[in-house]
Amino acid sequence: MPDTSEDADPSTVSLRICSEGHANALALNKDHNQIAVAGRSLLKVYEIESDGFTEVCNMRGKNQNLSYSSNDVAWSTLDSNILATAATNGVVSVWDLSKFGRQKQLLVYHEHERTAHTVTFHSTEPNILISGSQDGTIKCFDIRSDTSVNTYFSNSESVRDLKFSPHSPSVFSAVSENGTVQLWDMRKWDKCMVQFTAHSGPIYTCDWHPTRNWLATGSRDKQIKVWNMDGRASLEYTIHTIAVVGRVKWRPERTYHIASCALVVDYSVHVWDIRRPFIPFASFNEHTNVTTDIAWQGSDSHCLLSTSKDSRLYKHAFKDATRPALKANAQGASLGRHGDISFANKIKEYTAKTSGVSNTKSTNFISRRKSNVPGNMQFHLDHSKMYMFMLKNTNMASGTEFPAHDTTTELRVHEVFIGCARELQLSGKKLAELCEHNADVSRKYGKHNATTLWNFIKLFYGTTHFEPPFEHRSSFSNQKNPMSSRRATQVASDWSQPHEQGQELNGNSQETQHEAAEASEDGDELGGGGKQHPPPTSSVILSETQIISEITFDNFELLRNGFIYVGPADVTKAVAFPDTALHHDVQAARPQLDLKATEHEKSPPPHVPSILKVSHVPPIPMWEPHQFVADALMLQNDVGDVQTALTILIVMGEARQMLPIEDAVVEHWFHTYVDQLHRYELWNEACEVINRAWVRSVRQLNQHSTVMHTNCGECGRPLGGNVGWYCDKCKSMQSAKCCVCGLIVRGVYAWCQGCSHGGHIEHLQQYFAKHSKCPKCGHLCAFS
Amino acid sequence: MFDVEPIIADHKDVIHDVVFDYYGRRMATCSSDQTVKIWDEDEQGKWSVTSSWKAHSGSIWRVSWANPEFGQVIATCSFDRTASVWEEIMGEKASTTNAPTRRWVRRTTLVDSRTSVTDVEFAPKYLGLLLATASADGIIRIYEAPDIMNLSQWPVQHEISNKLSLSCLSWNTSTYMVTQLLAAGSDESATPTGKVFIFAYSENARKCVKIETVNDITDPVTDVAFAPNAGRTFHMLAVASKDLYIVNIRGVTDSTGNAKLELQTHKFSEHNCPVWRVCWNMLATMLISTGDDGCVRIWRMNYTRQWICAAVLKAEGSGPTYEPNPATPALATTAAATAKFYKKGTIGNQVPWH
Repeated sequence: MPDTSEDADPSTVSLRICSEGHANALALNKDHNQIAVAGRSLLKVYEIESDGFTEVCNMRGKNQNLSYSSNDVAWSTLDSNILATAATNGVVSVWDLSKFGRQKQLLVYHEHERTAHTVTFHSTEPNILISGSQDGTIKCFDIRSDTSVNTYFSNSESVRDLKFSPHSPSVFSAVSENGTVQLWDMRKWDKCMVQFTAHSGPIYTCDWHPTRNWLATGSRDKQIKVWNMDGRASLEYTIHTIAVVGRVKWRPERTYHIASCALVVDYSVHVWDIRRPFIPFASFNEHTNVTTDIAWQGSDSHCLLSTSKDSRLYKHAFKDATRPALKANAQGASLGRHGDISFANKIKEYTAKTSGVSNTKSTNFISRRKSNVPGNMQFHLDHSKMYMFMLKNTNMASGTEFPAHDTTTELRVHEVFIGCARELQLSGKKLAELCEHNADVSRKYGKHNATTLWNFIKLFYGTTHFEPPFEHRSSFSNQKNPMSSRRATQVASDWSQPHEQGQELNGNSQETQHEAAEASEDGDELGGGGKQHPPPTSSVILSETQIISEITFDNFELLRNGFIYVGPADVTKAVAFPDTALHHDVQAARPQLDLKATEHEKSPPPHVPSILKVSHVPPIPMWEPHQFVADALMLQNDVGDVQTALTILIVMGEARQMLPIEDAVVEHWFHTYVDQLHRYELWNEACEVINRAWVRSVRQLNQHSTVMHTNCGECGRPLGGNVGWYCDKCKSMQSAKCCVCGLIVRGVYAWCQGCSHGGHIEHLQQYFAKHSKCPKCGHLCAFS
Repeated sequence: MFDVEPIIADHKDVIHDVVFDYYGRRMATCSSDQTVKIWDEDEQGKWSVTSSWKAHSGSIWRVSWANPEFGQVIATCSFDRTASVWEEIMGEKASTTNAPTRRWVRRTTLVDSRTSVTDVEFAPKYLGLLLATASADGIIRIYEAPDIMNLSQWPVQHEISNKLSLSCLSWNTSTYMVTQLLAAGSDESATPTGKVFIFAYSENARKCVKIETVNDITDPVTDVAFAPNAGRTFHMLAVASKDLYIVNIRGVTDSTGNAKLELQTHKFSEHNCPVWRVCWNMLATMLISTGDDGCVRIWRMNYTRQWICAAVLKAEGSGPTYEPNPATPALATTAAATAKFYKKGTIGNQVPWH
């Protein structure tokens, strides 16, 4: 059948068939031009016209006995005037449309004990009809007789549907609520020919294929199954629908198409290709309540009639059907962490343009998106192919240079990101050196714009000749957070270089004087620093960061050694502690490191990048670069490189306050960068950034959802949260004291998780250098 | 260059969605064959299916991973009008040598929709454990699990009705100047109106409301994706429609102090065919879009803030039998691998940074 014929079809029409109640069933006459609808107090016949329906006959009237509800209606296959209905009270009625008034109800068979679910006429014998009932029986009537001629006992609780086979006239199928299918020969009423279990739940409907010896069954288990009835019934296809299947009807002239409607939930009529059992080929979504019955208009495969609980009768034109598969996303794609792309693509199969009629009736599944499709798309052959596009590995791990100007370089953004995250230095050196190093790192990873930026920063903010306060600042950032940089060295083992520790020591020794100097120079800054004044609390901020970073480092190392370490719970309080003294204490506890570092102090750093060396001192710029640098950072950020923008801000130290960048933006950058580091599972790098943050909401990130439970070192009871180190049980502050020196510990308190004893970290380190057992209880703390 | 490896997915019907998890270490696929598959990567970088189960009684359109902070949780949505939340649980340890068995259990089924649920996505972490669904009848529903330890309770928080049927949605993970931004697209082809809508939580109305319609996009939309938070001061929304669009959204406060959005739409016609999918990388520096002809295009931003197509990938045999579009540059005729790759031009280095 040519597909173009559907365009000539009239469009979808509908009619409201009654004001109260609804049709439970519909049936077409033998000429397919009239339709009977039956329901509660309803039995009407309509003429089907191209633009609608015209009522022909209404069998509801004063005279008619319609005080019950019809479950099914059937039209004689030979006589256009004979109709039969099956009612909920078990009555099977035969109607003659040619009669008048009361006479129309020709016969009333009151034989079923319970609801009659289905009635159907024999295909060749005009006087024979059969009905199935909830009482488990099938009765055969001859309209020339006013009682049944045969009764078939299905041995099931309920017969839901009956259909005569189009292939052998005396055979009919019966489906029942216990999930079995029976085949009966009308002439043998004692025993069915074939019986098999088709579904795990009740079967509500069945339909014979018009040409093949296939029987389709629909069940409460939401499945439609197609059985080959040659010999022993064998399962050919299973369709998974989304709701309990109410009715199924094979589509004429399409071997593999079947229409279905649901009993509950789903109001749509779906047409399935049984070879693609997961998604409907077409759907009619017009009904606003459950569809009760469906029928194709004779052999017209483009016209479907349906009734529904919304009291409407529809004639659906196939061209108005929705195609769920066309709306479905045909592709899936996702970008992985290593720039890999996983891509699933729908493969469309087409029939060859020249082949004309293929043996499997090709469906008219023409994409509405494309008009130049060669041949027809084969709906049932749709499938996907999946690919993984993998960026070739450049082996950055082995320390080779990042390949320059390779095609893929610009796509290896993750490698650049991870590499820079690990290698960019945030502190521990002079600003100029940091800039040099970071420019070098940026160049290594092909970030030439970032390299330029770093060089600019070095030029404008890293020299000692530009604005006196910066001299101070550069050395300032030098000694800022020495511990963290050492920690970073340990983490990123591939660039642990001895000269850094030399720098560190250098910074440490100058530290006190710098801090003292800073306080006095604050005033100078205010005068010389331009519009953006650093807040007078800058020294406090520094101390804070210092303490946090120290704590983190020690914490890190001690945790590894089996000790847990508690710093001040609130960083703001820590400012009150004599931070420099504490700092030096910790340094003193680690003389071997410093000694080692001193040896290297004089030797020049081995990796001075000669290209980056600024060979002459640049003249003092006559303009302020702040706005320019801020713009550059914003651009860098807008193109997606928050890493460089934020790292520059961090490295610039207090000089960043000159830049006209809003605090909210900086905060946003911090949160973003930390998120990104977390996403790449760079926890240490993220932690370092958090510790270096001057934005409060960022600094607090590490304290989120962290609870530490403390026990009293004397009695082992948990310490109450509000009273600090005071134990309610022992009535003492013993836990707050160092078990080596016996004094109350201020600030850092380290203790063994095994025995809950501890004290000043430096005392413990000294003690455990010689001993291995707890000074208080003899517990083998195994501090090594 | 790219190595291309065909992956045997063993889905019996069309695969509708492929999604990496938060860290990119796991992958979920869903298909019309009503199954979901979870993939894990081994040390050699090979992906293999570690879980596969029938999740719905209809085609599964989309799958979404929750933030790993909430556990290994995914959500699926289906033609069967439901969305489901699944959690992976560790089974009993079989023996000391074997890894414990893992399996996915259904935590809840969301049955509020009366039509196909076309998209589902977990909200960004800062909003808590939230889930948005879009359905074919145009309703967006936002569910919230008030107790993150109990994934079986998902009361509806917001329900937003739209006139057009919806095909896709996306949460904005960035919070700069805006909060709780949600975009949705419609695949309606009948009306020539804007097809991308932006919703936000309104403090005054105490509910989610539509605040913008992108009127520049009137073709049916199949996918929308907000760029992940990358520190930018504006937000980027990629839209797959007849062409690829990138909408820049800027949150501004006008003179009266009201917050509103400024939209700027850029159109990219290079695909020459309908675009099905858009996806950002984690850093929001790269965008991929897939065309109906089976070509995957990779986009990068240059220093003039323009998005440039950096590469085109095509898996061999994935396209239909018709000839490649003449507007598409000719593909390499010989390729040793199963894929063809060609360079569309170089970006980045040549462009001066200021």
